[in-house]
Amino acid sequence: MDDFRVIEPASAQEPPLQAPMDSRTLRPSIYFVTILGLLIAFPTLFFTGRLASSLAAFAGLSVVPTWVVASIASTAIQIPLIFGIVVFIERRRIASLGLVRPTLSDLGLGLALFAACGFFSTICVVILRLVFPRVLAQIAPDQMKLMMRLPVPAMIAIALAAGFGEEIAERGFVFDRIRSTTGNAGFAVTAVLALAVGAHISFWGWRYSILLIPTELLLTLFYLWRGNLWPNIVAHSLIDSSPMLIQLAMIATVSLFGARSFPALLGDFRYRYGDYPGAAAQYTRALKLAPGDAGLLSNRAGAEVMNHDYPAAIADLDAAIHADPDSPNLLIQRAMAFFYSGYYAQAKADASQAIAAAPALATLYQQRAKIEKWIGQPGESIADLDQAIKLSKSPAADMYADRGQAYQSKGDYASAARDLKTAVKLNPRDTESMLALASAFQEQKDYAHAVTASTRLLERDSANADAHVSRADAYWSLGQYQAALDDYRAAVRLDPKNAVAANGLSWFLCTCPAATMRDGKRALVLASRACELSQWGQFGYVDTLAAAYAELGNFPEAVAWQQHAIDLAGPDSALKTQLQQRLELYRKRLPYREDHPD
Amino acid sequence: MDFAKLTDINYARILIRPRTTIRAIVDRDPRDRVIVLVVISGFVSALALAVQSRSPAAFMIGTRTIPVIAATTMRKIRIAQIVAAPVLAVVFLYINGALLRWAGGLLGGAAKSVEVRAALGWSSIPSMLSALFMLVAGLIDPVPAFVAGDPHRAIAMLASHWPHLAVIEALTVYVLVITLKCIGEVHGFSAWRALGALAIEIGVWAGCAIVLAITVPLVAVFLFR
Repeated sequence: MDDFRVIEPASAQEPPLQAPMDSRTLRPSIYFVTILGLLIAFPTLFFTGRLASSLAAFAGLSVVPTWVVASIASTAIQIPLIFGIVVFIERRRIASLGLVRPTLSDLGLGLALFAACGFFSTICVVILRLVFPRVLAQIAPDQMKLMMRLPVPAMIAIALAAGFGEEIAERGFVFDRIRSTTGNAGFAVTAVLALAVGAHISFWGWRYSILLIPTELLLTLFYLWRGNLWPNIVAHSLIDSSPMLIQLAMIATVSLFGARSFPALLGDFRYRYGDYPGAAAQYTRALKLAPGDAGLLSNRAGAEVMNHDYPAAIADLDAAIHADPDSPNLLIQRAMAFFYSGYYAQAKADASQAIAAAPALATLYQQRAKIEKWIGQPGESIADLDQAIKLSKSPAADMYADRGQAYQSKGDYASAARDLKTAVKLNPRDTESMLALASAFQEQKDYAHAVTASTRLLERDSANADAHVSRADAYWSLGQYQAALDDYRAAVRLDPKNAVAANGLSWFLCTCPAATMRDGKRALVLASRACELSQWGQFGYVDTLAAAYAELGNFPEAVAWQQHAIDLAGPDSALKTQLQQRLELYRKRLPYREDHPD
Repeated sequence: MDFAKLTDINYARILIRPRTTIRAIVDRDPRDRVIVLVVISGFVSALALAVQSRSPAAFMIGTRTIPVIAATTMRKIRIAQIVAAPVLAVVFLYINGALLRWAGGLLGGAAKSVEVRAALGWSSIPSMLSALFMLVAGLIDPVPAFVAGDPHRAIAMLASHWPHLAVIEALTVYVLVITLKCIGEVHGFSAWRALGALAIEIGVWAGCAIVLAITVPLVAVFLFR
């Protein structure tokens, strides 16, 4: 092993620009420089990355540009700072960071390192997925989606920024200085590995960060061996850019040998990852290659609908239907575009035309049922869903969910509960149906089952504020005040901007029969918040505000707000009577109490 | 033809004492018979592969039949392989020679490219023997083509041909050991370090392959579509 030794740290090879300091002055300076380097090298770990993101967000940029700006800006600040420390504080050359003159050999080593990182990461992922299949399923899907939504030049810029920034700061500077400070290469490798993995947690989450361990370890060990940063920079930049570039290369290969053009496939790719403006732009490019193609017009319309550009979507679908007039898919797509843009009559007409073109297609009935439910025709919606379920060999959960909600709109809570139970049974992840089921039980005054349904939903999603509100309502109706209070509080804590939760807790705090549970001041704050969140347009929230004033003994305000609530309420006589009764109570300088909570 | 060269004891000695044999060859003339050896090795390996490989009419993935290249086309491809393999073997001898000289140099090796080529050329003798075994075995007892998507059939096929496959695997390991010892000798280091050099070389090939697999389709799309 005489000629195969780890290369000395780059800083040790480089002569200082000035005479070396003695040990007494050198030691504190090394510690100071190392800590300073740590603070610069791991901006994400020390929150400066978040600060950059916050500033970009403050400047009015959306998520993707914010990420691009934050990544590139932090590197643009990081590298000059590191260079400044090296040249002006340490009095060393830039080469002491491992940035020696690049050669072709560095490129070869970078490629080999890139392949090795990919190989070991894949093995690590396979083993970890076999051992922890549930923990490592669906790692960082939102972050991946965000990454795939980046324009290609931006993604390459981020990868290069990460390649240069992280390598220069983490390995070229911090690793080298920790090694010099402690004199222990093993400690330096471990420390930089922990810091580098930790730095990724704030954005990528801990599960993804764990998967970075083999790559980070290999990069650090490689630098320890070579003392040259260029192969690391090449490998790091390739590693960061390869997930998207590999997907684009696959799309390009398919387009070369397949029937669809590259822009069309790229449009599909952009759409899949939620970049709807990007998808529409790609479909426009594809349409230049195949003008009037009904499929591409339909695809672009889909992207435009997701982009809330309904007139453009309708125009595209008009053109597509002109090219292919009997297509039920195009007709139903235009129906939904009309529906989203508020043209309900045209929406229903198109849906009916689609059904006439393909009367055996269950999904068409389901789409028309959605329109009918929305425009207040629950009976027709139920009839269409009956037909959809009848035509389907194995009806989907959402058909039962839709019919359950239509029954709920009609006031037939027993049928609603039956359908919603089926929907939840078929799709246990359907939280919306679970919540609707709890609501259906609540409406039937079956509070025990309402509690059970909400609890099941909370077992699946403990952070669901609406489920806490739903269960709190059921507990409140059962007279279990402490349990109701706990759930209302949990809902407000989980989602402070949830007006329903704020109103529910406020109503509880100012009308609860148990005096020890009431808190008029807090009720007033929460009721005001609910009113602000609903822009003072919900009479129910104004009613709560009046009750809160009454609880505090401020009856003139209570009377004024209660009168305002009555004015806001529609012509529903039952509700008006209740509101009126409360107004009379406040005029008699008496607060309201929920004697019969349901 | 120099018949003395045909009966050279080095052909046999490289199989038993690779280090001393390659050292003697390199010290005498590192260019001696290297090209001829890799050309023959390339030809025999391609021939063995052609005999060994059986293309099914179609792959089965689950219950779906995936058609593959027609038998007549496959025969043409095999013939092209047999013709091209010796030429490519020479090309790759030079590329791999340069890469292994460079990778060995990173690990402290001191060989010249011509010496690494000699090591690669002479270490192709055991691979020639391995290919000859595959050729004969392929003619006597052909291994059926691997059936994609059907692990049970694949396992049954491997189990029924295990002696044949075990010999091939053992020969592959033997060829690797001989190659590593030859490379190690010319570089002046151990076979383990030669393995490191080989790993770096494979890494470079893999990295290039990935980069090309990414860039070629993208460039082709922008140029031709």
